[in-house]
Amino acid sequence: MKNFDKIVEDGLRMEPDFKLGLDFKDRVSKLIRSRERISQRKFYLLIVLGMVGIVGAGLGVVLYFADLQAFASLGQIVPLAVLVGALVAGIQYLDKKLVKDKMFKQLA
Amino acid sequence: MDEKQLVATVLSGDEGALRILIGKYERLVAHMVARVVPDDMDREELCQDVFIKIYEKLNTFHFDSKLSTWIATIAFRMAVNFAKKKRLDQVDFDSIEFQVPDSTRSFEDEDLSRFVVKLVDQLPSSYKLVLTLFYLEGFSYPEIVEITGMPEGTVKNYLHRAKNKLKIIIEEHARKEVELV
Repeated sequence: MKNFDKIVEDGLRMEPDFKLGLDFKDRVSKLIRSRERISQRKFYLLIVLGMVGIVGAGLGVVLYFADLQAFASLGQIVPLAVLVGALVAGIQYLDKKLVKDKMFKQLA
Repeated sequence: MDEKQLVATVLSGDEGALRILIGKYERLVAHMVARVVPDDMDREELCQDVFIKIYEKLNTFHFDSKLSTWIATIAFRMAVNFAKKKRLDQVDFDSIEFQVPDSTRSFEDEDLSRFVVKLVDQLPSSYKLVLTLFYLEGFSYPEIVEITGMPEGTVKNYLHRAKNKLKIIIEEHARKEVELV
């Protein structure tokens, strides 16, 4: 007398014949990385376009409406602007190296 | 490396950890997808899409369940959606007319078990997935409830009805084989 419960359960526990290729994980991880690179490039491109748009709009407004003589003394604050820019970039760099990298290492 | 370490390392951008994660769970995803999708090319593509979705959503996983349960949840939803989109489920459980071959090569237990697999292929996707999660992957009732979003009673009902129906067909088939001999 056959044990049909066992036969059915054995059948249900059989793996499907389908197997993913040996290089499946390599292909998927490459695909994920390439998608990430593309979306990162798109993001940078949007930032650049946004900055160009803002600067262009600003220049347009200045050239169209403003009295250029009013900006004659602007050259005096260029060193200060460069210094502030360098300071902000430095803080960003130190934040990445000393805080964020450590944070990710701790998480890992 | 435990689950938490693995997830954190993948999130930090480590490609090796990502490969480990895929390697660890590709069998689970492949089993679920293979039960629902008949074509090998579609199967491979859907498995790929499941892992891309897992990677994209990994930062929303907060260890409220086991990682395997969370991954199975994504695979379940994507497999069911694929079946709906491709109209693979045209019949409901009660109106299935099983295509039973005239004769198996023999009625040894192993051949009958293979015959069961062929019958399972004819079940609606949700039944196939619940059976796979329970019998092949060894998930518990509460885990299957979480994965499928079905009430526990429905999960138990699916398992009970499917197993009974398969058993009846196998019994009838074996009886006919004996009569023929």
